[in-house]
Amino acid sequence: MQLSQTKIKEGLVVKAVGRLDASWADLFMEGMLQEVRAGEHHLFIDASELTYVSSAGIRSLILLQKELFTVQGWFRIIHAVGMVRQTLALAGFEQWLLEKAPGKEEPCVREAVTDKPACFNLQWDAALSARAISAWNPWNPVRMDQCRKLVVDEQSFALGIGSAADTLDQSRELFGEFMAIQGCVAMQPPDEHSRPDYLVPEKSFLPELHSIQAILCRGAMSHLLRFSPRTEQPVHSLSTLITEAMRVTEASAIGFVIAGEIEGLVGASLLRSPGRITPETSTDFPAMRDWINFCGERMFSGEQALICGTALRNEQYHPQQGALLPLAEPGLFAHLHAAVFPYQPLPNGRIELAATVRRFFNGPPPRAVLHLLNDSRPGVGLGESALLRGACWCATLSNPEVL
Amino acid sequence: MLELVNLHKTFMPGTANEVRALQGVSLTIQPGTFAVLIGSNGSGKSTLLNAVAGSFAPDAGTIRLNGCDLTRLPEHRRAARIGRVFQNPFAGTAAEMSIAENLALAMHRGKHRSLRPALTRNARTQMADRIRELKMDLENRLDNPIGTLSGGQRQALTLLMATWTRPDLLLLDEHTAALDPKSAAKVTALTQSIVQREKLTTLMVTHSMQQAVDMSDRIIMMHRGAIVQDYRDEHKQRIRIPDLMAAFDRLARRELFDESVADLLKSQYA
Repeated sequence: MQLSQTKIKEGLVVKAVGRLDASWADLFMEGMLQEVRAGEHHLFIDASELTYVSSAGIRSLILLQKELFTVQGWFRIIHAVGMVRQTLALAGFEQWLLEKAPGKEEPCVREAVTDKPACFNLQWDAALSARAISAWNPWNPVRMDQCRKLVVDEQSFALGIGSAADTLDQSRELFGEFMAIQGCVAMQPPDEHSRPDYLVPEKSFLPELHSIQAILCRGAMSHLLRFSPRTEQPVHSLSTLITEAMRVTEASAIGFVIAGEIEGLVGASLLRSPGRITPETSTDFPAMRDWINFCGERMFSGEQALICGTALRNEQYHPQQGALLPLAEPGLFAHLHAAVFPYQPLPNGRIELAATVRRFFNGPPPRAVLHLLNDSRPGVGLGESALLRGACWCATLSNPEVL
Repeated sequence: MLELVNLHKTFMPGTANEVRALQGVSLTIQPGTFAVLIGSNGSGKSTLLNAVAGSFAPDAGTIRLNGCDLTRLPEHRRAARIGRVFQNPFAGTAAEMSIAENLALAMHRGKHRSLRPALTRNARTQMADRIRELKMDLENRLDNPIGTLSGGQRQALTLLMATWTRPDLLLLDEHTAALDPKSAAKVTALTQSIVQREKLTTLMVTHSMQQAVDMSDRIIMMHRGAIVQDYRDEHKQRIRIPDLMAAFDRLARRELFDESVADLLKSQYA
C-alpha cells in the first residue's frame, strides 16, 4: 500500500495504490489519521489504483468516517473501479463513491495549515474578573481557616490546589492540583498510585472544591485564536501563544483557555497533600522528592492538553509576592495548569469553548494534571511547554491587581 | 509466613566496587500469598531471593519462615523447607541422571534418607502420575537422562521437583525468562496451577509486568536495594500494566530530581 497526497481547493486527495486488506488496513488508517490530525477534514481517496478491498479494509474506512464525523469532516472515494467499486456498492457504501473530486483537482498549497494563526472575534467587549485564594505558602503548613470553597460554574474557569472531598477535614489529606473549566474539573490526587480524577456538571450538580490556592476567572472570552505548525514556527511555546493572545486582546493582563496537541509539557504535581505539612515537616531536598513529582523530561507528546491560566506582562511584577511565575519571555508572568487527555482531533475554524471542553471530558479520562513550569535551569533545563496546533480562547483581565 | 526484618547486604564493602544490594528490607508475606518482586536490573530482587534461600548470610537483619529463624541456617538445611526454581533451566536438575532419579531426589527432600532403593515401583507410578499432569509426554521416558530434554521440559520438571514435598516457601527466580515464548507460557500456567492447588507461599522474581499483574496476590517493587512500592490487597486488584510502567517512570524521574530541580520548584511551584 502506497499513499500519496495532493492538496486541492476542496480538500486533500489521497491516492491509495495497492490492496486495502487486513495486512494493509492499519497502515492505511495511520496515514489517513495523520492527515486528519494535520487538519485535513475533507478527504478524497483516489482508488484508481486500488485493486482490492476486503472487510478489514471497509472496517478501516468506517473507523475513518467515525473519526471525521467528530470534527464535522467527511471522505469520499473517487475513481473507484472494478472489484473495489463493486464491493463497496454491494456492501451498501455507495454514498462514499464519487466519480471524481469536485473542481479540476488542480494541486494547490496547503494554506490551511501553513497560514498565520487565525483570530476570531467572539465578543469584543468581553472581559474576565479574577479572584485569588491563598491559604498555603509553599512549603509551610496550610492555613486551614483560610481555605475556601470554590464553585466553578459554566461562566468561569479556575486553577489551583484543592480537593473535591465532602468536608474540609477530609480534604486535608487530599489537596492536589486541579483545573476547572465551565464546570468540568480535572484533578490530580496527591499520591503516586491514584489516577487523575474528574467531575462533570450534570443537571443541577456543579462540582465544588475546597481550595488552598486558586485563581478563579469569571466572564466571557473575547477572542479565539487557532494555531497550527508554520514553516517558520513549527511549535508554539506558551510564551508565544500568550504574547499572541495579548496582542489580539490589546491587553497586558489576560485569562485564557487553550486546547491543543502537545509537543511537550514541562510540569510538576504533588505527591503528598500540603495539608499534611506541619511546622516540623522537612520539605527541603532530598525530602522534597517525597512531596512533589517533577516530569524530568518533556512529556505527553502527541496527546491533547486543556490548559487554563492567567498571564501578565509587567516588568515590575514580583513573582514572590503574587500568584504568577516567570515565563521564558522576559517580563511575562503566568500561572498555568494543564490536564492531559488522549488525542482526539479538534474541528477546524471557529469552535465553541463549552463544546470543546465537554468533548474532552466526555471522552477517555485525563492522564495527568500538571502545574506547568518554565524550566530555565542552565544547560539542563527542559524549557517551556509547547503545543503543535489547537485553539486559544482569551479575554482581558479586568482586575490584574488581585494576582 | 515469611518474615524479613531489616535485611542488609553489602558486597565488596570498602572497595571501589562496593554494592549495597539490600538496604534495610523488611517484608512479611502471609501463608498462601503469591508475591512477585519486580524492579530494574540491580535493584536487589535476586539478591533478596538468594538471601532467603541462604546463598549468603545477610550482614544484618533476620529471616524467619513459619516462626523459625533461618538467618544463620546454611543453604542445604533451608532446602528442606524452601523449593527453588532458577532462571537457568539447566540449574535445577542433574543432567546426567534420569528423570526418575532426579524426581527421587526431590521426593526425599528434607526426609531421612537410608540405603534402601529410592526408585521403587510405587515411586515410579507416583512419578508417572505427576508427570502426566505436565502433558509433555514424559511419563514414558522416566529413564531418559534429564539432560536430553528441552529447556521448557526441564524447567517444568524442576518446578515439579521444587514443589513435590510442598515446601513452606517457593522461590522462583525469573524461571520463565530463558524459555521460548511457548514454553514460558506453559511453565507459567503450570506454576499458577501448582501454586493455587497447593496454596503455596511463593516469592517470584520477574521482569514480565504481565506475569506480575496476572499471577500475583501482591506486587513488591524494589529499587536500589530497597522496597519502594508494595501493591497488595484491594490496591493490587486495580493495578494494571500501565500503572506499573508509570511507577517505573516515576522512579526514573525521581533519579533526575536533583538539587537544581528542588531550586527550580522552590521558585516555580505554586
